[in-house]
Amino acid sequence: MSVLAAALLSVTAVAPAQAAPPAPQQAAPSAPPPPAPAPTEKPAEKPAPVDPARSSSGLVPRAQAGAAEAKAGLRRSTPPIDPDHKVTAEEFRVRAERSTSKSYVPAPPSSSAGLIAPQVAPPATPTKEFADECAGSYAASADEVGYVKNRYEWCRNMIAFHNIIDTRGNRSGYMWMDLTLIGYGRDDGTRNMRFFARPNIVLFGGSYTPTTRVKLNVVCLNNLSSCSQGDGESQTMAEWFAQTVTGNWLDFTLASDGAGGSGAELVQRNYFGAQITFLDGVPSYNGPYGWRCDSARYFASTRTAACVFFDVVPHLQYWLTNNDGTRSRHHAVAEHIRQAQDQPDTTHPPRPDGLPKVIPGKYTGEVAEDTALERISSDTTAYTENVNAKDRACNRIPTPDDMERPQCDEYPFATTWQGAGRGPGDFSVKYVPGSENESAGASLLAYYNSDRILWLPEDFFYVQILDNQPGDGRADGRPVVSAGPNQFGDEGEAVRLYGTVRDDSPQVVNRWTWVPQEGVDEGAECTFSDPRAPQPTITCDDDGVFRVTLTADDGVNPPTSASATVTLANVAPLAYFDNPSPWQLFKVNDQVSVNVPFSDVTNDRVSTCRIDYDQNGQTVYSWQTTTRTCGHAHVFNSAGMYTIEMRVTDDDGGTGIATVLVVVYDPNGGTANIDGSTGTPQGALTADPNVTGDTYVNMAAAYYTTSGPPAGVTKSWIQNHGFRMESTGLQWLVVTRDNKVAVRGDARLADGTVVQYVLYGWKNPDRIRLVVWNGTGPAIYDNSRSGEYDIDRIDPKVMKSGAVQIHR
Amino acid sequence: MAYRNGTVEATLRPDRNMVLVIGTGFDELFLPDFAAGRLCYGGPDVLYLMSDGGLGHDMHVVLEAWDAEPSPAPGELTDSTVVSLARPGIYVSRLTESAASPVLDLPEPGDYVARVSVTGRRALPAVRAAASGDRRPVEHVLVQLWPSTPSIDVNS
Repeated sequence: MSVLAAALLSVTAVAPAQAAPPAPQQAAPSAPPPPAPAPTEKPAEKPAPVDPARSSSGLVPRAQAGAAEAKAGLRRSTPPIDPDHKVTAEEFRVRAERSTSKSYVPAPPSSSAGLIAPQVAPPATPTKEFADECAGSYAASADEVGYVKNRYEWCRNMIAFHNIIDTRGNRSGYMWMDLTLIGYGRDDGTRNMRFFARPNIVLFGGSYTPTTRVKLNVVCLNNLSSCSQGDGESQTMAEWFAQTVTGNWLDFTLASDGAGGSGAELVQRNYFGAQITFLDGVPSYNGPYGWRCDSARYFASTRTAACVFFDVVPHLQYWLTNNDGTRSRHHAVAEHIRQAQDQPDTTHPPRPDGLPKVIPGKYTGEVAEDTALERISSDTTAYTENVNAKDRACNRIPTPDDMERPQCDEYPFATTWQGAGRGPGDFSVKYVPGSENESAGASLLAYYNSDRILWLPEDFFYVQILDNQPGDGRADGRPVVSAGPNQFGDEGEAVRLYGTVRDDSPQVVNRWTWVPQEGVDEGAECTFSDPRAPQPTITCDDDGVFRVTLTADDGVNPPTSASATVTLANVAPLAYFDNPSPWQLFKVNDQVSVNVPFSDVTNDRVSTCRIDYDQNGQTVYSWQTTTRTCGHAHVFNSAGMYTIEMRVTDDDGGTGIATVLVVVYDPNGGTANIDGSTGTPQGALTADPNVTGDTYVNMAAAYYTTSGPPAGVTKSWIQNHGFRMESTGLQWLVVTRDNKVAVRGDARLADGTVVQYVLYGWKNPDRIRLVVWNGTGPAIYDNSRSGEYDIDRIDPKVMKSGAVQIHR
Repeated sequence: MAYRNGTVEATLRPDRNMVLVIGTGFDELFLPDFAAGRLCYGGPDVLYLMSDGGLGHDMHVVLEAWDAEPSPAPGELTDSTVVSLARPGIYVSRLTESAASPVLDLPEPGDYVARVSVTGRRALPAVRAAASGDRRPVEHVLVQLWPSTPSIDVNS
């Protein structure tokens, strides 16, 4: 199913997951029942109030969505950080360490000459390349700090969800949105950052309708006086959904005005976050993420201000070999730095105190004051001391004769606080080919510019030496897996799962698995429509909470999994009377065989049958069955109309109810006469609902044989009206022990219409009800309309004249 | 007859064998092929001036603005290139971070020929051998700039 189709389905096919099924309907083609009552509007069920303890909402990294949605009552409605929070360099260091993304600066010089540190400004819309990179980035979906490709490019894949559960336990509304948020820093003299967002999948239903508005914004989380944000984008769910088709991006901006910034650079460190506001006005946040703006004047004149992402360990990369296998332009410098970092005591000069050297700056992903490098100005005493110390050390080693323009390289760099002129001698010098030293030097200057390394003690950076030229900074190639939103449904229902797998390999293999998590009976079984498809359906034969897991294996990296829950409500058995049929006629003391088949999702489990023969609770029987039928037999020893009820209860307590009305006559039970009138209530006569004249009846019936049918006549008419009915034959007569009478027969109206009728009479006080119909549709006449036709359950109307007479 | 319109100068130590002269519109570095071993490399708003790789000495750099090609200055070595300036100004920088010289004003943005003449390198071995830490500039670099015309063949 396409995303479009899936989303439309979700919009149109939402139903409360735990609503009770309708009572089963009976079919009785061979036994004409009285007509169905006139269709009446079922009163709209009053919506149950929202249950905050069970509802939940959030805006979480994609990888955490399943766990978050499972937390009933979760509402992350407060910003994730105190607005008065003062950011420290230390906490940024800690945050940067937590990132698992291979974030680094744009690659240093390529093998061909060219511009190596272009100015950065946000594009008008995200590039497809970076959008695709984000979509496949594990860090973007899972890391605390998102995917920080470098200080200018950042993204986060996240899930916005709102599950509204009412006090009846029904899910009365939900929205689920898979979003990608991309951020761009800049160093073009402007102190702001731009963000772009678009949804990838949008699902909603219930109280979330296509016109429901949901607002997204990128917001300042602290330093609110110096940080400004836009108003955000409020869109209807239909518009959010449309974006998944158009792929359009929404645009957000955060700005830092520099007021109150620290130092000459006017540095401000802030946190930002994503904020989504649900239909009830309650927001959720995702973040915090670090950003920093400065107005340093020691970059190019066109780069007098910049804003960068700060949750990253800045590091310069040199490599030994180009992609084409040739020697890199800075090969010898890379070798020298690697030796200095990994085997410092093999480098020159030894420490004056004779102790082992510990040369800082090696990139490990961790950040610490004693391992990092800090940039200094070349117009400082420290820089001069570094250069002088380096020159002194270089003068003590011979200049190679067979080297191209030999130059003495030093590490750590002279432009760092950790250079040769500082500390106890933890540095190294070595002659390298001049062109490689110069290339490395130009690359270092470019790096300072491109990664916006400030002259600040806490703006740590590192150097990473690679064997081979790095790629484009993509994540590690692991499949990125989402199991989609938690799903709800009924046992036996094919519930759609909305998993996604993104991977750069076409060979990736997906596999869905399931396990019972809560409230699932032993032996329950689930099946997937296609366990290898990202969005199959799952069908389980029991209710409860199931945990489903989507695992993707690209054959290269360890398999990656993501899970969601599927909560299934129990479905009561669906039972119906196969025998007897509605209005089936029995003679008193004849055996009534009952056969009630039922269907249930659960196979091979014990169900309970309970039958009530409608004799004031005196004839109620229960038993268990492992078949799919409740069978029984009974003898009625008195005439009457009996509504037999069968309740079938499954092993999870779900009950299906079926009823059937049977008629039992007793040829020796007596005779009856009804003569007189009753009022004609509004609507009694369908063709003329405002008729007001009284309804008169004249009926006499008796059994003259033991096998029936009875003999007699029934007439009825409405005073001062053309309605008149006269019987053409009787079908049965019931005279009960408690002085009620019912007679059913065929008749003809004054206009010749062939009809059937049932006339009921009660004694003390004398009351009658007449129902006349022809085939289907509403009754032609009924002076006490209701859904009941059982003589004991009707509401006959008091006679204005005459009487109901029973003779035994 | 060519006229000199301005001169600026600075003295500073080369870093990794180079001094960077940058335009006032400088934005980004370009990476030359340093294996060519030239005295200078020109590009967008950047002029690399290459030292000889020696240690412990400063470089004295003079920038001259000319309205046309001047007579060659005497020097031990010469080279020329083209610098493309986004703005009409250029100066000697400390690693692109700050200005080591005043800005040399030029008449307009555009391409300028930079002819580089170097003197003093013959004295460098002696300075290096002495390792005295003497910071007197022993390497003098004159950069003559004049508007480029399409007919001039540079960097060839």
